[in-house]
Amino acid sequence: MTRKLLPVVDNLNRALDAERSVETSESPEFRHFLHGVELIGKQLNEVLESFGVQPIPAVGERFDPHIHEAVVTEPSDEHEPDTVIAELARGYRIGDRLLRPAMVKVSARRADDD
Amino acid sequence: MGKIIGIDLGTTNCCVAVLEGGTVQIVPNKEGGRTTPSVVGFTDKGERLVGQIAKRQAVTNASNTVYAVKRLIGRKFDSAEGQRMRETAPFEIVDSQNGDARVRVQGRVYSPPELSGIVLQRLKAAAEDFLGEAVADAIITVPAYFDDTQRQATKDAGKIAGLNVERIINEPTAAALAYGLGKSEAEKIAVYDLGGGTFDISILEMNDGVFEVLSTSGNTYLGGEDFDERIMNWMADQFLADSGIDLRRDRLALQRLKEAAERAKCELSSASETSFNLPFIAADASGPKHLNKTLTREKFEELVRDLVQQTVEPCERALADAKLQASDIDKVILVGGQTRSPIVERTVADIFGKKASAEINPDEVVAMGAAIQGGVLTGDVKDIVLLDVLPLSLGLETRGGLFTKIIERNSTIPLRNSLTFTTVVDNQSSVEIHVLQGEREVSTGNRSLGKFELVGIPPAPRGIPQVEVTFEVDANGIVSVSATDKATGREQQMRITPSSGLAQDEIDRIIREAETSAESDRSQRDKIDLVNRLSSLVKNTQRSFLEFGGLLSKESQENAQRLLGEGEAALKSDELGELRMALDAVDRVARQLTNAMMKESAESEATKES
Repeated sequence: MTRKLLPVVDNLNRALDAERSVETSESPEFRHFLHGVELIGKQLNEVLESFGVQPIPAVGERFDPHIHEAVVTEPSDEHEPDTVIAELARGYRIGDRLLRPAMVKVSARRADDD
Repeated sequence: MGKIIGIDLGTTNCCVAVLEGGTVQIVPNKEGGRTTPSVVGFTDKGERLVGQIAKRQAVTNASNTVYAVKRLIGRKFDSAEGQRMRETAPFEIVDSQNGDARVRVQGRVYSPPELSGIVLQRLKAAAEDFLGEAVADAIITVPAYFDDTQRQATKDAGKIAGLNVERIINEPTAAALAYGLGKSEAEKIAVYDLGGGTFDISILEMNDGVFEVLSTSGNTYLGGEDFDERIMNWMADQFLADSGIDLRRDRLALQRLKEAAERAKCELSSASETSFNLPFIAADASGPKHLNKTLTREKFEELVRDLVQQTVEPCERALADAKLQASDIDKVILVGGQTRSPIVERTVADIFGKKASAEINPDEVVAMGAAIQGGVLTGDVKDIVLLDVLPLSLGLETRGGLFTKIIERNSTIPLRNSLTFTTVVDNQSSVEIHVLQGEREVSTGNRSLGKFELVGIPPAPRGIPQVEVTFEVDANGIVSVSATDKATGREQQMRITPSSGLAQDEIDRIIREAETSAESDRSQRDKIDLVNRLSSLVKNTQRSFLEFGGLLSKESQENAQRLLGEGEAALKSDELGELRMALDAVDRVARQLTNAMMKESAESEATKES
């Protein structure tokens, strides 16, 4: 069941990310509302944690197919090759087991590495 | 003899089954999946990843991630299939000395049996974990149209994986076995197999436990993935019309779309409509965009109708080749996940005029049948007598480039047959025995299995010498041919190792290498376990330290911090030796903290009591 909840968590996070990046010229009512939704998100994460569900570290980590799923690669000057440069969907483990791999963008290998 | 496992070695996915405790059970892989993607990834750390994990890194390592090897096994580099793969595969396909197709990965050339062998090795290990005992024997299934070379190559793959392949059996036959057929009188069976990437239709005749393949047809590039694509494109088009944004340009959106499409397809097999809810799928100047649409089963069927229609003609062709009408078919069996769609079930029922059997999981039915065959061989399954048959006719090239059959296809094996031939010119001193496999009248239309010469025929007018050619096929379908000059008793023979495939010493070398890499695979796995254990131990111990560290003496605290630091350093270094030492060290700290904590709570209990 936990696995089925994850897309909901994803979408809530996406909603929050979208609005957080918007200019804070919004009305105070909206910001209160946003804050309220953030608290709900926090509560959801706490419930998941109580079940032993932990997010998988992604951005900045070395790409590891045991816990990450690479969806796209991109050349990057500021990162080492084979490093996770963006998390497109959070991955989770439950205890020792993988619940869902993180969906990630990985820095491309240099052409001469192939 | 130990258990014989049944393996469905598919183009897109594999499945393993075994007869255990009287029932056929599916062996899950290490990740808990009942099927395993047929993908091998070679990482630059020297790891060989197999299955879902290999798929996950495919995008970062496309030229070293190999899939659909089944399309190359037993095939030549310049065959039609070889060509097509070369055009579409991101990994390099190369030629070899004997013309076989091979794959070059990380600068090293692998034969398709080696690559399939890597997958089989993992499946074998999973079966051993599941059964708690060593597994040495297996039955592997192949498409009914696979020729001797492809079958032999599949057996080689098994050998490389350390498996004794007891039998190679046909996939439709295995499916029929899983349905408990093969016990009764005569029956004509149609097996409709729509998998992830291929479509196969086979017409079988079963007589007293003997399954004969009457005909096969299909489309090797039609499968469930094509259905997913139709849904994806429809969704993207809808969104484009609504918002002006083409989701196909955004890799992430496309990925979400792909997953949603596959999910929707599966849901529509039981529900009459499903909704797509993809919030924040894109954004433009006016803000974030969401995709929220309903797909009805009706619309889905409209989108895929022509794909399903493409399966009709091969079915009709197979019936015609078998010289049967649809009404002659007693039973129709569905294989492959895509057959779960109601539109497919209906179409099959329309073609054959009767409802198909689909009670057994169509993704697992072939592996289950192979496991049952294993059970028959070990004697665990008693009420079936199964005889194997030769899939294609065997014969010789005779005068004028004709093909003379010596053994008809669908003859039960083992068998032996002889024909006597003679010379075509006066004083001819040798005859060339060119062994071929196939059904065509002209020898060039058939597959060459090998050639040899019988020399030293004493001079005589043509038509006088008597050369007896004997074909022998053993229970595994291995062909031996001998030619004897009746006058002199001179004999020459050859065991057909086809003019393709791997030579025995190559196989031996590959097996040796496979054993060493099994070692390194195991130590790789061990290291990963170690890293995981150390990582959680360090985290937990750090937490304990924060809470209870104060209970320790200053010296112990400093020591604990130092050892925790070493633990983190070991995780960064990824060195096996360091990891092991760190695990011990951090474990000691953890225990120290636990002791201190217990002592503290015991003392406070004591003070409470007093």
